[in-house]
Amino acid sequence: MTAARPPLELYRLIESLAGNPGAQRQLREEPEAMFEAFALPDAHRAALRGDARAGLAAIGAHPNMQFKYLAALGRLTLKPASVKDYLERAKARHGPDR
Amino acid sequence: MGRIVSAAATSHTLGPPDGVEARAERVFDGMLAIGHHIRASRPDVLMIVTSDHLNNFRLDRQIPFAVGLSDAYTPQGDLGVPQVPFPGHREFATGLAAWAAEHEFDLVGAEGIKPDHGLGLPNAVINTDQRLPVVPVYVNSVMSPPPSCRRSFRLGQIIRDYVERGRPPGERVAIVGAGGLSHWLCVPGEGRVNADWDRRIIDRFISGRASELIALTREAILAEGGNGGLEIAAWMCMAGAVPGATGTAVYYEPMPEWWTGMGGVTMQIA
Repeated sequence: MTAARPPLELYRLIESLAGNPGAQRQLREEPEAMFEAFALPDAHRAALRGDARAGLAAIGAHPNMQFKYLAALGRLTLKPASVKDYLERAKARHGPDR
Repeated sequence: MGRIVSAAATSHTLGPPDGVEARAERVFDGMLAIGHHIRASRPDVLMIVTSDHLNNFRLDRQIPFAVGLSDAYTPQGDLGVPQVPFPGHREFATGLAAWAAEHEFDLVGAEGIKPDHGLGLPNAVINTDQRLPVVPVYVNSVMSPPPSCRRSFRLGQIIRDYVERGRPPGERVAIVGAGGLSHWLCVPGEGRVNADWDRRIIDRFISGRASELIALTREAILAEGGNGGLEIAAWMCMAGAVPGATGTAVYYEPMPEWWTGMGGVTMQIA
């Protein structure tokens, strides 16, 4: 049984984006430098240069990693929500006990 | 001996209310009702079984089952979860990992967890004053292979055994399974919701037949519940801790605008 090698270099790039606005900005503004820093294979760089969503899928990246990459690029179509806002609205509607 | 005094399961995400105000309000009110149910049982310890979203656990070292050992936790803050610290319970969690090992189940002890919304959201709506000690149990459905429903149910059985035979007399334990129903994330079908499947899952839980779901394979869940539907393994862990319990469907809303079915149940504890 053989298994495809996961895109480990890309995963490490994506992990570096967590809580790091500077890295996220660099991905948006200088993606080639990020690709180089994390030694992405040429085929992966090529896939990510165009439509990132299609490229990530073509690479076979883990769905949650795709989500993080697209979020860093600001290309998620799912709108963000805030639990804090819900809690504050609920307090206004129900009082502090709820 | 200790006792499980309350059990519930709930989705662990939210979307914006814009354009879906009434449904969003019903969803959040359902979450709050579950929180009220758990607090009313006066637990000494709150176990939250959930999945991490590759924020604490990584694909380089894939850990399907883990328990947080830390003395305290501060949420990561994603999804706007308030970054208010809350206590852990090192002695309970360490004992659980040891108990599991003695009962042929490997539960990895994890320090330094900074909970993402998978734990942070349910904690925010249940542990409202952030004083109740929390024991995070991670059933990491994003790993490959993911934890199965069968294994998760078995972990729940071990948790019950630990509470009843390994914990001090009178200790009151609440357990909440926190995970999504059907959702497809960054895969073909993204945004789809399978309300029929969601309702069938909920029905199994409230009718006391959750154990039937241990037969669900990864492939079957992916086909009907999407890759996000694998998170029902967290619900299954809760069910294993209260075998045969019936329950109440507290809320259910198909929310394609949020790319997920949203639901929650509370269980009747004898």
